[in-house]
Amino acid sequence: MTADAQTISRIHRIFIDVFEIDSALLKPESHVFADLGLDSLDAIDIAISIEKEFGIRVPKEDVATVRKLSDVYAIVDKNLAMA
Amino acid sequence: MIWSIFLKKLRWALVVSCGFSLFALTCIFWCPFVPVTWLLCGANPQKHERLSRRVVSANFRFILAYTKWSGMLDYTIYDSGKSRHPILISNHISLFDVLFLVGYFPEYLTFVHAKFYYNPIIYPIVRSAGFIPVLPSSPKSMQKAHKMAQDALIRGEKLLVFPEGTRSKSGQLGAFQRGAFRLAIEEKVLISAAVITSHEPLFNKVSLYSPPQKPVEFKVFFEGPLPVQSMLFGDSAKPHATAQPLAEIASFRKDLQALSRETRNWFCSRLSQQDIWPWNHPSSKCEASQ
Repeated sequence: MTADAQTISRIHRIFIDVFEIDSALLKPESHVFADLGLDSLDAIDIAISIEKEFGIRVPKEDVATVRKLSDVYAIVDKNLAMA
Repeated sequence: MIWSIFLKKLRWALVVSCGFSLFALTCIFWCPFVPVTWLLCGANPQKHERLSRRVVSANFRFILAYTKWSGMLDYTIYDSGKSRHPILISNHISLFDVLFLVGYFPEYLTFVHAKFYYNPIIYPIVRSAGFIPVLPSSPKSMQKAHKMAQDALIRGEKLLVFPEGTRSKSGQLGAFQRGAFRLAIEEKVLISAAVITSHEPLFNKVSLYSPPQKPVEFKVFFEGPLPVQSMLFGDSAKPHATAQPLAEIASFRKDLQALSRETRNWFCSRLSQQDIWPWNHPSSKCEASQ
């Protein structure tokens, strides 16, 4: 299961608007902590932002597994499917 | 010549191992008293944690007195007597920083690396003191520690945080992590600062077992409230407490970054002042955050 282009674009918009990340850095293989300069507590803000943007619940266990941007796509995709 | 170097290293090894042993012995002797003190505190977890912290604090002050007596170091605590706010942050140049701050500011809870928290000798006392375990390499552990710290602040406890996360390798002030500042903004609590300096490295990240030429002189300055906290009481605190749009999360993050940056810049500026740093030390070349 993979996120569609529109979902990916909305996720990127969160990273650009809320986390002030350069759009050029937003690639599926980008490491959220090492490449994007975020930390483990920023992952909480990622989850909250996703919840607000997509109107879904993001379980804490899912947030703890985030390493790459593709993990974020997968979490949104999974939780959208369950919504 | 070789003989004198050997004797010096041997003496140093004995002094260091005695220091560590003092702590281990306290931990071991404390174990049987844990149930007794628990009952004496009326099974009140907070009272018990505070009593345990007093024991750790007394032990650390004893170890500091021993290391001073043994000629390993000399230290002075400059306590301005200003209010001790719920969060105390400090730079981290040596393993002794923990002993100074926990020893002389026992009301503060601190974080303990998970490898120590689950050490069978240290575990009982560290756990009964309510210290918060954290494994920096694990996002899950960091998030759990953040929640525990948040709960502690809500209960009225005070927190000691080293925002650099680990001891400095070069003596220079490292980058600040934002956890302490996130807690301050979320819980709307003020931050006090402590600044620690020494005239040469001792038990830092790279020179753990190098014997110093003469007793290392430490100075610990309790500075009171940080003068950079205007964003603490803005509207952006607790972004996830209520249903707020993304703009408010962005605003919260801007405040968080500003507080972290301003605090680090304040440390840089303070570390370069003459009363703090009369020696030519890398910390005086601390680069301000942009």
